[in-house]
Amino acid sequence: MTPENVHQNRSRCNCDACKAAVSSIQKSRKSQAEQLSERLENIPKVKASPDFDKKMAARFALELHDDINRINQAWLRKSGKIRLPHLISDLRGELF
Amino acid sequence: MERSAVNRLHKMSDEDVMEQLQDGVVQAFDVIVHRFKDRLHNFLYRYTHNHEDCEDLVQETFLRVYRSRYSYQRIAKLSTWIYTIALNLAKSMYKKKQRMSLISIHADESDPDDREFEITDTVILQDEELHQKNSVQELEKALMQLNDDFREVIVLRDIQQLTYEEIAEITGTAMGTVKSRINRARIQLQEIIGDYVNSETF
Repeated sequence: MTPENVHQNRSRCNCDACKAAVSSIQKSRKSQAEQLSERLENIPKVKASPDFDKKMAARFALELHDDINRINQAWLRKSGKIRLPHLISDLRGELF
Repeated sequence: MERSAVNRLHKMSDEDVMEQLQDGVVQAFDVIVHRFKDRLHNFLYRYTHNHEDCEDLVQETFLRVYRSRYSYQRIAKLSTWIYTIALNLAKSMYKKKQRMSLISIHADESDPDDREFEITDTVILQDEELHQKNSVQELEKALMQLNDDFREVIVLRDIQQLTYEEIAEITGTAMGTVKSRINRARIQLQEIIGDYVNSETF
Protein backbone atom coordinates (compact mmCIF):
# COMPACT_ATOMS: atom_id res chain seq x y z
CA MET A 1 0.00 0.00 0.00
CA THR A 2 1.55 3.35 -1.05
CA PRO A 3 1.13 6.44 1.15
CA GLU A 4 -1.28 7.93 -1.40
CA ASN A 5 -3.82 5.13 -1.30
CA VAL A 6 -3.38 4.16 2.33
CA HIS A 7 -6.95 5.30 3.15
CA GLN A 8 -8.52 3.85 0.03
CA ASN A 9 -9.39 0.54 1.65
CA ARG A 10 -10.91 1.94 4.81
CA SER A 11 -11.91 -1.41 6.24
CA ARG A 12 -8.23 -2.42 6.36
CA CYS A 13 -6.89 0.89 7.55
CA ASN A 14 -6.48 1.30 11.29
CA CYS A 15 -6.51 5.08 11.59
CA ASP A 16 -9.28 6.65 13.69
CA ALA A 17 -10.85 8.51 10.78
CA CYS A 18 -11.22 5.34 8.70
CA LYS A 19 -12.52 3.33 11.66
CA ALA A 20 -15.15 6.01 12.28
CA ALA A 21 -16.10 6.08 8.60
CA VAL A 22 -16.45 2.29 8.45
CA SER A 23 -18.53 2.22 11.61
CA SER A 24 -20.80 4.96 10.30
CA ILE A 25 -21.30 3.09 7.01
CA GLN A 26 -22.09 -0.09 8.92
CA LYS A 27 -24.57 1.76 11.13
CA SER A 28 -26.26 3.33 8.15
CA ARG A 29 -26.50 -0.06 6.39
CA LYS A 30 -27.97 -1.60 9.52
CA SER A 31 -30.58 1.10 9.86
CA GLN A 32 -31.43 0.81 6.14
CA ALA A 33 -31.87 -2.95 6.59
CA GLU A 34 -34.09 -2.37 9.61
CA GLN A 35 -36.20 0.13 7.69
CA LEU A 36 -36.51 -2.26 4.78
CA SER A 37 -37.49 -5.06 7.10
CA GLU A 38 -40.15 -2.82 8.63
CA ARG A 39 -41.47 -1.86 5.20
CA LEU A 40 -41.71 -5.51 4.22
CA GLU A 41 -43.55 -6.28 7.42
CA ASN A 42 -46.03 -3.54 6.62
CA ILE A 43 -46.88 -4.75 3.13
CA PRO A 44 -50.66 -5.22 3.27
CA LYS A 45 -51.52 -8.81 4.06
CA VAL A 46 -53.23 -10.76 1.33
CA LYS A 47 -56.13 -12.80 2.67
CA ALA A 48 -58.06 -15.76 1.34
CA SER A 49 -61.25 -14.88 -0.54
CA PRO A 50 -64.58 -14.98 1.35
CA ASP A 51 -65.70 -18.12 -0.48
CA PHE A 52 -62.44 -19.95 0.15
CA ASP A 53 -63.98 -22.06 2.95
CA LYS A 54 -66.79 -23.18 0.69
CA LYS A 55 -64.41 -24.21 -2.11
CA MET A 56 -62.06 -25.91 0.34
CA ALA A 57 -64.93 -27.80 1.93
CA ALA A 58 -66.01 -29.05 -1.51
CA ARG A 59 -62.51 -30.26 -2.37
CA PHE A 60 -62.13 -31.87 1.02
CA ALA A 61 -65.46 -33.65 0.65
CA LEU A 62 -64.22 -35.14 -2.63
CA GLU A 63 -60.98 -36.11 -0.94
CA LEU A 64 -62.88 -37.85 1.86
CA HIS A 65 -65.08 -39.58 -0.68
CA ASP A 66 -62.00 -40.90 -2.51
CA ASP A 67 -60.46 -41.85 0.81
CA ILE A 68 -63.50 -43.89 1.79
CA ASN A 69 -63.54 -45.52 -1.63
CA ARG A 70 -59.89 -46.46 -1.28
CA ILE A 71 -60.48 -47.94 2.17
CA ASN A 72 -63.49 -49.88 0.91
CA GLN A 73 -61.59 -51.20 -2.10
CA ALA A 74 -58.68 -52.25 0.10
CA TRP A 75 -61.09 -53.97 2.48
CA LEU A 76 -62.82 -55.72 -0.39
CA ARG A 77 -59.48 -56.89 -1.80
CA LYS A 78 -58.55 -58.30 1.60
CA SER A 79 -61.88 -60.02 2.05
CA GLY A 80 -61.93 -61.74 -1.34
CA LYS A 81 -65.01 -63.83 -0.63
CA ILE A 82 -67.29 -60.88 -0.07
CA ARG A 83 -68.91 -59.38 -3.16
CA LEU A 84 -71.00 -56.24 -3.22
CA PRO A 85 -74.04 -56.22 -5.44
CA HIS A 86 -73.27 -54.47 -8.75
CA LEU A 87 -75.90 -51.90 -8.01
CA ILE A 88 -74.03 -50.60 -4.94
CA SER A 89 -70.48 -50.89 -6.24
CA ASP A 90 -71.47 -48.99 -9.36
CA LEU A 91 -73.21 -46.13 -7.57
CA ARG A 92 -70.32 -43.73 -8.08
CA GLY A 93 -70.55 -44.16 -11.80
CA GLU A 94 -74.21 -43.22 -11.60
CA LEU A 95 -73.51 -40.10 -9.62
CA PHE A 96 -70.84 -38.55 -11.84
CA MET B 1 -69.81 -33.93 16.43
CA GLU B 2 -71.07 -31.90 19.34
CA ARG B 3 -70.62 -28.17 19.36
CA SER B 4 -68.67 -28.35 22.61
CA ALA B 5 -66.24 -30.83 21.05
CA VAL B 6 -65.65 -28.46 18.14
CA ASN B 7 -65.11 -25.62 20.61
CA ARG B 8 -62.59 -27.78 22.42
CA LEU B 9 -60.74 -28.27 19.13
CA HIS B 10 -60.59 -24.52 18.63
CA LYS B 11 -58.92 -24.11 22.02
CA MET B 12 -56.23 -26.72 21.35
CA SER B 13 -52.69 -26.01 20.18
CA ASP B 14 -51.94 -26.56 16.48
CA GLU B 15 -50.09 -29.75 17.27
CA ASP B 16 -52.94 -31.16 19.38
CA VAL B 17 -55.42 -30.39 16.62
CA MET B 18 -53.18 -32.26 14.18
CA GLU B 19 -53.10 -35.21 16.56
CA GLN B 20 -56.90 -35.21 16.53
CA LEU B 21 -56.83 -35.30 12.73
CA GLN B 22 -54.43 -38.22 12.88
CA ASP B 23 -56.91 -39.94 15.20
CA GLY B 24 -59.63 -39.56 12.60
CA VAL B 25 -61.42 -36.45 13.86
CA VAL B 26 -62.29 -34.92 10.48
CA GLN B 27 -63.43 -31.61 12.03
CA ALA B 28 -59.84 -30.98 13.05
CA PHE B 29 -59.12 -30.35 9.38
CA ASP B 30 -61.51 -27.37 9.36
CA VAL B 31 -59.74 -25.92 12.37
CA ILE B 32 -56.37 -26.21 10.65
CA VAL B 33 -57.78 -24.58 7.51
CA HIS B 34 -59.27 -21.79 9.59
CA ARG B 35 -55.97 -21.11 11.37
CA PHE B 36 -53.66 -21.22 8.39
CA LYS B 37 -55.62 -20.12 5.31
CA ASP B 38 -54.76 -16.41 5.51
CA ARG B 39 -51.14 -16.96 6.52
CA LEU B 40 -50.63 -19.38 3.65
CA HIS B 41 -52.45 -17.15 1.22
CA ASN B 42 -50.23 -14.21 2.16
CA PHE B 43 -47.13 -16.37 1.84
CA LEU B 44 -47.99 -18.08 -1.43
CA TYR B 45 -49.18 -14.88 -3.05
CA ARG B 46 -45.52 -13.75 -3.11
CA TYR B 47 -44.89 -16.62 -5.50
CA THR B 48 -47.96 -16.50 -7.68
CA HIS B 49 -48.95 -12.81 -7.78
CA ASN B 50 -52.28 -14.13 -8.87
CA HIS B 51 -55.16 -14.75 -6.49
CA GLU B 52 -56.62 -17.67 -8.39
CA ASP B 53 -53.34 -19.60 -8.63
CA CYS B 54 -52.64 -18.73 -5.05
CA GLU B 55 -55.96 -20.10 -3.88
CA ASP B 56 -55.37 -23.33 -5.79
CA LEU B 57 -51.99 -23.66 -4.14
CA VAL B 58 -53.42 -23.04 -0.68
CA GLN B 59 -56.11 -25.66 -1.28
CA GLU B 60 -53.53 -28.11 -2.57
CA THR B 61 -51.36 -27.47 0.49
CA PHE B 62 -54.23 -28.32 2.81
CA LEU B 63 -55.05 -31.47 0.86
CA ARG B 64 -51.40 -32.54 1.11
CA VAL B 65 -51.54 -31.86 4.83
CA TYR B 66 -54.50 -34.21 5.07
CA ARG B 67 -52.99 -36.86 2.81
CA SER B 68 -49.68 -36.89 4.65
CA ARG B 69 -51.18 -36.46 8.12
CA TYR B 70 -49.60 -39.64 9.42
CA SER B 71 -46.12 -38.54 8.43
CA TYR B 72 -46.30 -35.50 10.70
CA GLN B 73 -44.44 -35.95 13.96
CA ARG B 74 -44.69 -33.68 16.96
CA ILE B 75 -40.96 -32.97 16.95
CA ALA B 76 -41.68 -30.14 14.52
CA LYS B 77 -44.13 -27.28 14.93
CA LEU B 78 -47.20 -27.83 12.79
CA SER B 79 -46.79 -24.40 11.18
CA THR B 80 -43.23 -25.26 10.13
CA TRP B 81 -44.40 -28.50 8.57
CA ILE B 82 -47.24 -26.80 6.71
CA TYR B 83 -44.97 -24.04 5.43
CA THR B 84 -42.54 -26.68 4.16
CA ILE B 85 -45.31 -28.32 2.16
CA ALA B 86 -46.48 -24.95 0.83
CA LEU B 87 -42.97 -23.88 -0.11
CA ASN B 88 -42.29 -27.09 -2.00
CA LEU B 89 -45.56 -26.71 -3.90
CA ALA B 90 -44.82 -23.06 -4.64
CA LYS B 91 -41.35 -23.92 -5.90
CA SER B 92 -42.58 -26.58 -8.27
CA MET B 93 -45.35 -24.32 -9.52
CA TYR B 94 -42.88 -21.47 -9.97
CA LYS B 95 -40.54 -23.69 -12.00
CA LYS B 96 -43.44 -24.83 -14.15
CA LYS B 97 -44.45 -21.20 -14.74
CA GLN B 98 -40.91 -20.19 -15.61
CA ARG B 99 -40.79 -22.95 -18.20
CA MET B 100 -44.12 -21.76 -19.55
CA SER B 101 -43.06 -18.13 -19.73
CA LEU B 102 -40.23 -19.09 -22.07
CA ILE B 103 -42.90 -19.63 -24.69
CA SER B 104 -44.07 -16.02 -24.84
CA ILE B 105 -46.60 -14.62 -27.20
CA HIS B 106 -45.47 -11.54 -29.10
CA ALA B 107 -47.72 -9.18 -30.91
CA ASP B 108 -47.81 -9.87 -34.62
CA GLU B 109 -46.83 -6.55 -36.23
CA SER B 110 -48.26 -7.55 -39.58
CA ASP B 111 -51.67 -8.05 -38.04
CA PRO B 112 -53.49 -4.71 -37.46
CA ASP B 113 -55.85 -6.30 -34.92
CA ASP B 114 -53.02 -7.71 -32.85
CA ARG B 115 -52.01 -4.73 -30.77
CA GLU B 116 -51.41 -3.88 -27.16
CA PHE B 117 -54.13 -2.11 -25.26
CA GLU B 118 -53.42 0.45 -22.65
CA ILE B 119 -55.62 -0.19 -19.67
CA THR B 120 -56.09 2.95 -17.66
CA ASP B 121 -56.76 2.84 -13.97
CA THR B 122 -60.03 4.65 -13.46
CA VAL B 123 -59.64 4.84 -9.71
CA ILE B 124 -58.07 8.17 -8.81
CA LEU B 125 -56.06 7.80 -5.66
CA GLN B 126 -55.17 10.46 -3.13
CA ASP B 127 -51.48 11.42 -2.93
CA GLU B 128 -50.67 9.54 0.26
CA GLU B 129 -52.60 6.50 -0.87
CA LEU B 130 -50.89 6.63 -4.24
CA HIS B 131 -47.48 6.95 -2.63
CA GLN B 132 -48.19 3.96 -0.42
CA LYS B 133 -49.46 1.93 -3.34
CA ASN B 134 -46.36 2.79 -5.38
CA SER B 135 -44.10 1.99 -2.50
CA VAL B 136 -45.70 -1.42 -1.98
CA GLN B 137 -45.63 -2.15 -5.69
CA GLU B 138 -42.00 -1.14 -5.83
CA LEU B 139 -41.19 -3.49 -2.98
CA GLU B 140 -43.16 -6.33 -4.53
CA LYS B 141 -41.42 -5.78 -7.86
CA ALA B 142 -38.03 -5.75 -6.16
CA LEU B 143 -38.90 -8.95 -4.29
CA MET B 144 -39.64 -10.68 -7.58
CA GLN B 145 -36.20 -9.75 -8.83
CA LEU B 146 -34.38 -11.53 -6.03
CA ASN B 147 -33.14 -15.01 -6.74
CA ASP B 148 -35.25 -17.87 -5.37
CA ASP B 149 -33.12 -18.57 -2.30
CA PHE B 150 -33.05 -14.93 -1.26
CA ARG B 151 -36.74 -14.29 -1.89
CA GLU B 152 -37.69 -17.38 0.04
CA VAL B 153 -35.90 -16.33 3.23
CA ILE B 154 -36.96 -12.69 3.03
CA VAL B 155 -40.61 -13.62 2.60
CA LEU B 156 -40.48 -16.10 5.46
CA ARG B 157 -38.61 -13.75 7.78
CA ASP B 158 -39.84 -10.24 7.02
CA ILE B 159 -43.31 -10.88 5.67
CA GLN B 160 -44.35 -14.03 7.49
CA GLN B 161 -42.36 -13.15 10.62
CA LEU B 162 -41.01 -16.64 11.19
CA THR B 163 -38.00 -17.30 13.39
CA TYR B 164 -34.56 -18.17 12.01
CA GLU B 165 -34.96 -21.70 13.39
CA GLU B 166 -38.27 -22.19 11.62
CA ILE B 167 -36.86 -20.85 8.35
CA ALA B 168 -33.84 -23.15 8.62
CA GLU B 169 -36.17 -26.09 9.11
CA ILE B 170 -38.54 -25.13 6.31
CA THR B 171 -35.82 -24.47 3.75
CA GLY B 172 -33.63 -27.35 4.90
CA THR B 173 -30.59 -25.12 5.33
CA ALA B 174 -28.26 -24.36 8.22
CA MET B 175 -29.17 -21.46 10.48
CA GLY B 176 -25.94 -19.63 9.60
CA THR B 177 -26.82 -19.87 5.92
CA VAL B 178 -30.30 -18.53 6.61
CA LYS B 179 -28.93 -15.52 8.50
CA SER B 180 -26.36 -14.71 5.84
CA ARG B 181 -28.94 -15.14 3.06
CA ILE B 182 -31.30 -12.76 4.84
CA ASN B 183 -28.56 -10.14 5.19
CA ARG B 184 -27.47 -10.48 1.59
CA ALA B 185 -31.05 -10.48 0.37
CA ARG B 186 -31.81 -7.25 2.25
CA ILE B 187 -28.72 -5.57 0.79
CA GLN B 188 -29.70 -6.72 -2.70
CA LEU B 189 -33.27 -5.58 -2.19
CA GLN B 190 -32.03 -2.19 -1.00
CA GLU B 191 -29.89 -1.91 -4.12
CA ILE B 192 -32.78 -2.80 -6.41
CA ILE B 193 -35.05 -0.26 -4.74
CA GLY B 194 -32.25 2.29 -4.94
CA ASP B 195 -32.04 1.66 -8.67
CA TYR B 196 -35.77 2.36 -9.01
CA VAL B 197 -35.44 5.59 -7.07
CA ASN B 198 -32.45 6.68 -9.15
CA SER B 199 -34.08 5.84 -12.44
CA GLU B 200 -37.17 7.81 -11.40
CA THR B 201 -35.18 10.78 -10.12
CA PHE B 202 -32.87 11.25 -13.10
